[in-house]
Amino acid sequence: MSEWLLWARGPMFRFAMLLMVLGVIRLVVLSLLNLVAVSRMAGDKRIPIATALRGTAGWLFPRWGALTGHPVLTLASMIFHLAMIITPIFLGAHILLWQRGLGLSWPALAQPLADALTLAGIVAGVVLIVQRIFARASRELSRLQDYLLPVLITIIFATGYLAMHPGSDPLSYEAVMLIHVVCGNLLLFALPFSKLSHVMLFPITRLVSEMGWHLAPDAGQRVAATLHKEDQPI
Amino acid sequence: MKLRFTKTILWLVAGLAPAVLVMRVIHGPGSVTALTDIIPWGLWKGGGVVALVAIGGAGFTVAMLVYIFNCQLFKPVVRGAVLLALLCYSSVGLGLTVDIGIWWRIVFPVWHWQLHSVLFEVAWCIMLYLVVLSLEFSHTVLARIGWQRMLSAIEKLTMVIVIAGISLSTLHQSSLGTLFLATPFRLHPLWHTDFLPLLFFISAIGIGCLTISVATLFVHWLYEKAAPMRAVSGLGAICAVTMTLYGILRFADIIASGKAGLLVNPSWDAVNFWFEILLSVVIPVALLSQKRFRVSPAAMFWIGVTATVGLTLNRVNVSGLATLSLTHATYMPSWTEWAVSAGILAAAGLIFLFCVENLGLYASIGAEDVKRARAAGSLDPADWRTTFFSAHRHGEARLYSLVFVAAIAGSFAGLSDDAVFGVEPVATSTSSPRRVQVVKRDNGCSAPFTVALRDDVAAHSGAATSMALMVDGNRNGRYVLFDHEAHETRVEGGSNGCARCHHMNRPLDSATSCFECHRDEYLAVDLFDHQIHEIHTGGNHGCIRCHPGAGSPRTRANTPECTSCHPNMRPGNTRVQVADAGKRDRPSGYMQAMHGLCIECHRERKATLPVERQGIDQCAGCHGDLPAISGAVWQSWL
Amino acid sequence: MSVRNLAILTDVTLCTGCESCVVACQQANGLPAEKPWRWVKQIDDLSSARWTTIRAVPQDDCTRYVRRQCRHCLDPECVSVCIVGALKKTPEGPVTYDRDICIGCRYCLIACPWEIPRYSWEDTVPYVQKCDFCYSRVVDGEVPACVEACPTQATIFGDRDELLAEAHRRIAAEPDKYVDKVWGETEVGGTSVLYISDVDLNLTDLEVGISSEEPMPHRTTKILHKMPTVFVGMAALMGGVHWVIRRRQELMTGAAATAKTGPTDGTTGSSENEESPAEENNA
Repeated sequence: MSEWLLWARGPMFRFAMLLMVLGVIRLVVLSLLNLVAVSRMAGDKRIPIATALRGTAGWLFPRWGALTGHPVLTLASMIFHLAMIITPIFLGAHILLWQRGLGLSWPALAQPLADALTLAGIVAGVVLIVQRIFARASRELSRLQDYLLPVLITIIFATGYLAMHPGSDPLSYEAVMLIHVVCGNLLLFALPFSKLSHVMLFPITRLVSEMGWHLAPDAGQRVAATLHKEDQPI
Repeated sequence: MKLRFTKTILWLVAGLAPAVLVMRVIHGPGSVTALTDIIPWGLWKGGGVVALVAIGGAGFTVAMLVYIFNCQLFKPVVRGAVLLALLCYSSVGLGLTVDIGIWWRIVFPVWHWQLHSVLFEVAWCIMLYLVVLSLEFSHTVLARIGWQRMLSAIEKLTMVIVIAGISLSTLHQSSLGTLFLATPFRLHPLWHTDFLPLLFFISAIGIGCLTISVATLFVHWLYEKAAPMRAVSGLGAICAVTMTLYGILRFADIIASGKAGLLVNPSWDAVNFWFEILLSVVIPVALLSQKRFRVSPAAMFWIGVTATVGLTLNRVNVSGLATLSLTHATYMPSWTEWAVSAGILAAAGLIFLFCVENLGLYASIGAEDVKRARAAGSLDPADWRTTFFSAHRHGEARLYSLVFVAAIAGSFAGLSDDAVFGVEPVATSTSSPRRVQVVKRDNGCSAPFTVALRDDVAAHSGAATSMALMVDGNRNGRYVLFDHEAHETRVEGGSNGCARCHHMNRPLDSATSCFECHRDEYLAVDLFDHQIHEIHTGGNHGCIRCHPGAGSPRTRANTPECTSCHPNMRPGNTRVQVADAGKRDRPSGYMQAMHGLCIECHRERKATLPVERQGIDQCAGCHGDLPAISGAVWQSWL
Repeated sequence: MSVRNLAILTDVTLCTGCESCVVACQQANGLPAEKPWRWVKQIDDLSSARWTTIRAVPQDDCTRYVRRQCRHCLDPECVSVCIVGALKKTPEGPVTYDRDICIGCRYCLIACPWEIPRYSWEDTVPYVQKCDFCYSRVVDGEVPACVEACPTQATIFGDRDELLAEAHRRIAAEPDKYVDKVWGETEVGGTSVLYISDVDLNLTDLEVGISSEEPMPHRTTKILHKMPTVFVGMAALMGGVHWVIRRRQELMTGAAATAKTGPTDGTTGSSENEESPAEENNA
């Protein structure tokens, strides 16, 4: 078990971390290349960077109006995102690892707050998974990764909590740690190759949606024609 | 498809190098290479510099044929040959930068002149030749971008540039051989000869002919075009003549200097020699002298590959492999060394293909051919793989960048701990002392000393023997004979006396042996067994006993001292007072512990001893350092 | 200090193997703690943390202890091969190392016939490590740390000629005891570190013993001196050949205009024939 844990914390982590960083850079570069290509074909060649940045900043924060539609889901999603961003980066135990590995450190989150966020993240994750399975509209739209990723993230939260509170841990500490580290690595690994890439591509998504209007009105039809799929439903 | 496949492989291999290079810069060459003080030149020097310069010999050979001998036959390959040489020499420059200990001083030879150093001459020749090659290659670039005025200026200088290139090549190709005239005691006599410079020069011409042939044939195979076979078979003929000359010279020199016996002497070096000769001389000359092989692209390709491997082996032999037997050393390049060498070559290969596609390197491969070959590899637009590799316009970029990024991450994951965290000393685990029979002897050379007896000797010796502990923690054949009983009687305190030396005991033990905690001969290693404590404190619920404060990071810094649970661990009357003993769980190395324990006490006792035992605090007082004596020697002493 | 050509003489018969010289050397030069690195075969071999060492050489009667250190050759190969001149033979005799210009090519490591220089592979910025005869001490008139530390005067320091005379005096005084040879007097042109012994010494780990009296650098300099000639000769040859061939082709194309023969066949043949003069020139 401890050899596996060493492996997961060593080579596997190095692979996942570097692949995540380089993979994200690769995605951004490729997306920008595509954007340039699109703008060359479009009639309006201006790149609306300011609008895109404004849109990014705007959509980064939840809107009060959105709460009225599905308040539970919106809240769950918001908590899920917050927990996912804050806990891994500001957890004291994680900072300790950074300090050991690279000598970097920054202020840690108070432990009760981190615990609360983790538990909230687990609850929110469960709510989101349940909703995806039982709400018909979501189910129709979902791909495999839409189910797997929330489950993976919830497992990471749960095992992380158990690792910090071994008293309430039914498994051995090392087993929990191994699951935590392996799942965390899988998440890093999946980041550039799944919808998780919105971590970095979010601003570019805004840019694309701004530029999309500049394309010819029947561009979609021409894509279908190129693919010989005119008669198929989109 | 084969073009796309080849490029994918090249990107993959090129991706193996960057992570290694970064760690080489951060932690130094010792962290990623298998080099040692005895074999300080390895794959990066032998393969990446000495062999690659020979492979780059194509540049001056073909330039000589085309421009000096005005041989229009070889015109189709001259641009390729110049680029091949330029890429080889750039790789040499990069490889050398990586290899030398202080990489940013690669430019020092420019102003620190040492005219008596061969390496200095090689460095300058290579630098100047790189300039020459750049000028020669600028012809191709200028022709492509159509800068006529510059182009005609370069063309006027062509002959000067070409002649300078040939002269510089003559110098450094041969001087690479001169480098190894300085190692007569390391290099096996089958390779070491005063003719090394000449042999290196001639074989560089021969191999140059073949490397450009191989590159040309491979590229034409990739883009599915007919290669300029007249030029290739012409080069094959020249190579056959040159390599025959090389082979004759090599054997004539060996026989003339009376080393012929070594050729038939069954040894690893002789096998290596004959294998090298088979690949670099026998096979190429035998096949290239027949026209039917010279006109076949497949035959020429494989002959070229064989000869290139053979001549690379020659350079690798001279610069390292054939020094192993005389230096009694072993060296196998670490995978990181292979990764850097292969990565640099793969990157060079990609640049070569880029120039083929965009600069019109070969007149026989036009823009249309390139387009067709690249299109042959693209995926069905409706295929799911398209999403990953071919979406929209940058399909190739998507595939190659993915492979490249994955290779970087993969090579980073595969790095050794030395490469990631910096070089650490090698562990040498210790063993318990053995009980042996000893006898005290005085042979007249030095103070009386104690000798260990082998079991079979002791049986019939009849001399007065006693038992002692043979203290040789690392089992390296050197030991200290320690008379435990005698020391027991010397320390005060009777049965409590054990604690005078045995300063720390494992639970339920009374005199724990030294090696059980001082587990490494030289290094301080971790002693604390977390798993045992976990089991004994009742699993997960026991954490809190040592790590109070649930939730806070659990480090050693905030745990209580060991003695708070194990009060008997440290006897009170011990003379070993370890500073910072409370949570000290990394005991010093065995050697340091033994020295610390014995020397101090011996120094104190010296004052109370008679004059003939004043050597008690000297090294030799304990370190007799004689191997267990044989029966014969023992008998002669009686 | 006015003495020129300093040297060290080690009398193997007097050495007790106490390693005081090793400790003194490490302290005087501020060497790091010794550690069992991957490239250190025996902990008491020469290493980046041990510029001098004592080797036990077991004999039938009793063990001899032979000190190993840089031999400070009179015409040192390491100095000759160093690409930037980081290694220098000083007029006083010591071979010194300038770490500020060393590029780390490690040619000195493979060129030294005695296998002395070591490399601090463990460091991010590694340097060559070898005995420098305590150069900064000896120019101030002090003796090297190892000599000062030796309790039995097994290793002594002084002018090379005087030490050679002393060595021969000792051998002559006890011809039955000593081997009639001063190691370092003539090998590779002579070294500044000399040995006398009562048993035969093999001072390198290499399989081939060093018997040649020719200074090592001669092997390469005799080739290097020819290089300017080769360079100019090759350039002239190439220019000449080019001129001749172009002239011949001009005449041939002139003839071809009337006789209608292909010019390319002729050039192929000539190119193969022209190969050999180029190579003979280099020889």
